[in-house]
Amino acid sequence: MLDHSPDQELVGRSRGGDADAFRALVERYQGVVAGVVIRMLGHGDEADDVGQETFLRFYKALDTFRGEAAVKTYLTRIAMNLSLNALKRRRRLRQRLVRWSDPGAFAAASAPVPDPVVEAERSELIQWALGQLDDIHRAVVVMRVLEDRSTRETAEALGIPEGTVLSRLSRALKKLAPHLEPLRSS
Amino acid sequence: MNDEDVLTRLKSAPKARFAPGFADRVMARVLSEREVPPASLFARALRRRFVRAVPVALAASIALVVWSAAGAHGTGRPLLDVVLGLPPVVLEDAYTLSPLAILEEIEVVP
Repeated sequence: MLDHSPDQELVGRSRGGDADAFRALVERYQGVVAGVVIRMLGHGDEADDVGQETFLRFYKALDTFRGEAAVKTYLTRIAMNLSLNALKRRRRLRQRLVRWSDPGAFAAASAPVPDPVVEAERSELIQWALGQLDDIHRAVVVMRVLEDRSTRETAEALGIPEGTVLSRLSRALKKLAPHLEPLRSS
Repeated sequence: MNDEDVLTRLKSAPKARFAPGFADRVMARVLSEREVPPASLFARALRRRFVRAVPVALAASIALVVWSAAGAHGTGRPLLDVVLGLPPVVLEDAYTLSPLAILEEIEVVP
């Protein structure tokens, strides 16, 4: 059964060792965290692991969490930071692999172009299109567009000025346009 | 396709979700985090103490080095010898057997 207590009450109870209260927070915000990590990393074990790690970090920080930021904002920030770290790790690993193997073959394997007719799955196409952006532009699109955060919230979560959010968003949309073209007919 | 079209398409994406049982997986990790073995608690306590002691020990070391270096001023001895507390070496030392060498001599010649 869902616990409808306010966030602050659940945080307080979690701090006191109430596992059910923390579980209620996880169930309440897992969608928000999924929205960030899955859009940043794609579906899979890595995204699931980063999602778990996000809540684990929050749990460890309960004693210092003063509630000045909303739980949602706080979790989004942790999820975004961990996702960006995971992307950095992934890139380092990819560079190492490319050094050992044929770079052309690896690039082709890592960025399969979906056939819009066969793979009409909207979600997959959008996920693929997001994957064509670099980390900083993808982060802005995920926060500002897909998570529907304000420009200010996006800027705060990513630690960049609001003007940078807008310029990165504009560039990202230009780059996404040709990739999302197949959705016009679906 | 203009920006508005791109935004509309992006927003049409279905909500991303974790695989079923996500909350269970998180709670399993949280509970395992709570049940820390005693050895790990001891290690954590030691680490906390160590972290607290490091700045004090470092400050004391620097103070002693400065104190020794200040004492070396005007003595003509190498700074490193003074800082490390090494005794001054004079020519006479080369002709004098140390107590240790005498002991070794006794063992070799019964």
